Amino acid sequence: MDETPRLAFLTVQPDGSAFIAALLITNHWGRPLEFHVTQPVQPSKLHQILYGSTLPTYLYCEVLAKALLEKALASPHLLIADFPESLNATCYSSTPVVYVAPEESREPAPNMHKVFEGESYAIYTNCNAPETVDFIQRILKQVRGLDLLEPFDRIRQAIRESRRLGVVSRAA
Amino acid sequence: MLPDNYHCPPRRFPPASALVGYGLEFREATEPHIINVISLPVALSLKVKEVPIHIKFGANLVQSLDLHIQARSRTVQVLHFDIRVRSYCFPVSEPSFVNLRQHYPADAASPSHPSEEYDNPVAVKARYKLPRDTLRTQDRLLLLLQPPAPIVFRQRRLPLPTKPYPYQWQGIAFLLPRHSALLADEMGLGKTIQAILSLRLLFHLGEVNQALIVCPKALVPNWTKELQSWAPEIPYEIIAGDIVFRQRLWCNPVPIKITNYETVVRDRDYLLELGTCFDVIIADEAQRIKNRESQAAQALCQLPRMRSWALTGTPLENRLEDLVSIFHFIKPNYIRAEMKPQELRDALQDYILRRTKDQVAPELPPKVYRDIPLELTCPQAQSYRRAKEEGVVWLRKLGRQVTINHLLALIQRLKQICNFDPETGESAKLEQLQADLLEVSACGRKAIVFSQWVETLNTLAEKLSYLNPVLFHGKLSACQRWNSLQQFREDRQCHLILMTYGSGGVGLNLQCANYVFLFDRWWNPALEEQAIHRAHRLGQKESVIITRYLMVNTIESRIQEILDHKRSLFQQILDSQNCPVSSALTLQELYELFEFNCHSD
Repeated sequence: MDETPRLAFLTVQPDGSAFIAALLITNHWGRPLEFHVTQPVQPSKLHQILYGSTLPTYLYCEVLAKALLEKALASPHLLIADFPESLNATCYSSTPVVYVAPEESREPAPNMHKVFEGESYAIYTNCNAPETVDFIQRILKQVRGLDLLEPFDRIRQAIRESRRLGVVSRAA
Repeated sequence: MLPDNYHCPPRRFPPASALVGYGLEFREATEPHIINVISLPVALSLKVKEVPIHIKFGANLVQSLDLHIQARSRTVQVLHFDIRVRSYCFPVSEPSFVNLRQHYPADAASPSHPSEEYDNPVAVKARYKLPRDTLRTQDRLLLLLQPPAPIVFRQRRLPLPTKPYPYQWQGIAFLLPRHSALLADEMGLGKTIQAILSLRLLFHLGEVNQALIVCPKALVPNWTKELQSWAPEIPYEIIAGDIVFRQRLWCNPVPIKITNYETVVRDRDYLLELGTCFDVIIADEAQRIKNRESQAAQALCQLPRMRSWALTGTPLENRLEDLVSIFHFIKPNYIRAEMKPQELRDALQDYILRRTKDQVAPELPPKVYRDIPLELTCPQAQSYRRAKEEGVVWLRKLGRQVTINHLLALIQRLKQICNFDPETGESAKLEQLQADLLEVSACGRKAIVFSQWVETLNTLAEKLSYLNPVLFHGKLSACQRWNSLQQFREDRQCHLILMTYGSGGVGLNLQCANYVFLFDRWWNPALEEQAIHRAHRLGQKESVIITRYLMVNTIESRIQEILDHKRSLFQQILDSQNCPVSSALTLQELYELFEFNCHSD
């Protein structure tokens, strides 16, 4: 990889019974390049019945994350999400996906393994392919000064501001 | 876009076993092709060729099968999510000045830093403070999504000589997004450092290419010293010299230009003709432009600029008009002196950041005030009485023609007598000062003595020569003043620096001194505080003892009353949250106050 890494931070925030997803793409030192935010998405009763426990994975990854990544102009080198379901997002995105979990969070699912440990967080992936893991670790090494949880605070603040400004409407 | 509803056709509905691996197929009623397939978490067990396969339907599947079986002949809801996305792209400018890039290549690997320098709570506090006047959604989001300043410094590998305090990061987060800002921190909290670091970040973010720093002449060396420490990679240039030389300097494409207020006045026409628009102009010690009619204020306000930042610990020295004038530079016509107190406070809230030492640096050693009331010596008392009587007679003679200048002239005369008897040279204050300084020097400490008159300081220097004093006042050249400061800081035998309020009151770092003596009092409490804060500032390790001499039953005790009143005004506008401002002192009120005091003295 010749160019400096671009990171994409993906989060899904509950908004009443709906969900808002946002994607922040930054350069290697955290400067914002792109920001994409969805309108609140409200799964119906039918969705809940049909998808059951798989609804979050389907909704977060195949619906919301997919829609956001399709809008991205600059393709990120690594997708960092703050929810474990994101690891299934590899099915529609060629970008390696990792899950960033705060230190105090509970043990991740058995199929995940830690690829990096920050001061207050750990990075997990469910990918076993050595070349992908190596790629992820190389990128994380390049941005090791960054607190990878911090951009999610910015995103949450930006979502609040978007909602305040009426850019993102309130869920019914 | 799918139609509002579509059918799950019964004849196409596969047997339950077929659900495994395929899920539910949905087809549009009029079209044979599949338009959606929904995966289901199905677990089936079947018996095929004597091999038992258990069928186990989960609750969801049963429900969904029931639902679809019942729904064979009726419309089901749309299952497709209609996702609408709002997108924002932020252009990234790179630093234009070539030296920045050479010094810190953007693609260099980030070094590791001690985590405590940039810990998360600090980073959170250092997040941009969004200005209210940023209206565009895109701009607001861009500011909100910026990384906190400490993170940028770390990731861009920008070295810092020492770790800034959390409140300084907050100050930087306040300045960075603002085009109009007044940093009004109490003296000694590092306004210069905050401004330099903000400027440095803006240069590295590529948002600023040309900055102008305007400060009092005496502070130019201080700015250069701080720039070398806190932004070593950014070239700067001091605009000074004769007109031809200055004009050449103004044209140089140096990122930071430093000059003084007088030079701005002198070069105003040339600058306007040149048409340079500075990305940011920083007015240091902005109380220098508190008079809107002054040439300095007018010249500075005329310079084209994108950002206007003012730095001062005393934005309100005497009257609300001071603040209004400073704001005329920051944000023209934004506030008026006639505004109601609450209205004014609301209007200023977003543009002023003021912190006091008590709020942000409680670890700073305390200031201890010693008010020493003294009696005039006999010759002083006689001279004082005579001067007062003659003065009052003179004022009465003038009658209605008395102006504030007449009053001030008399007061000055009386104050000088309070310092030294004009005939014998006797001084109660000097006697006390000599006794106090003996103690100071015996302990190996250093002291600053302030007076408003150069003549007083010269007399003191003569009388206190055994303490090896140095002088610092406006009649010395910049070089002489700087030498005085160096000698006071570095020479262990030099225990005393004698300063005028005017030249030594602002911008100097003299933490090596623990004692401050106010030989006479200034009209303005803010300026007195400025003087005191030369010693009581960040970096001071020990208590600072401030001794104020006050001659009882003289004009000095009247001045004390005025100072108390002004201090109260300052606190009401800037330091208090809810206390209403009674009113600013108008010239007329000031005049009446002087008149009253003068006659009643």
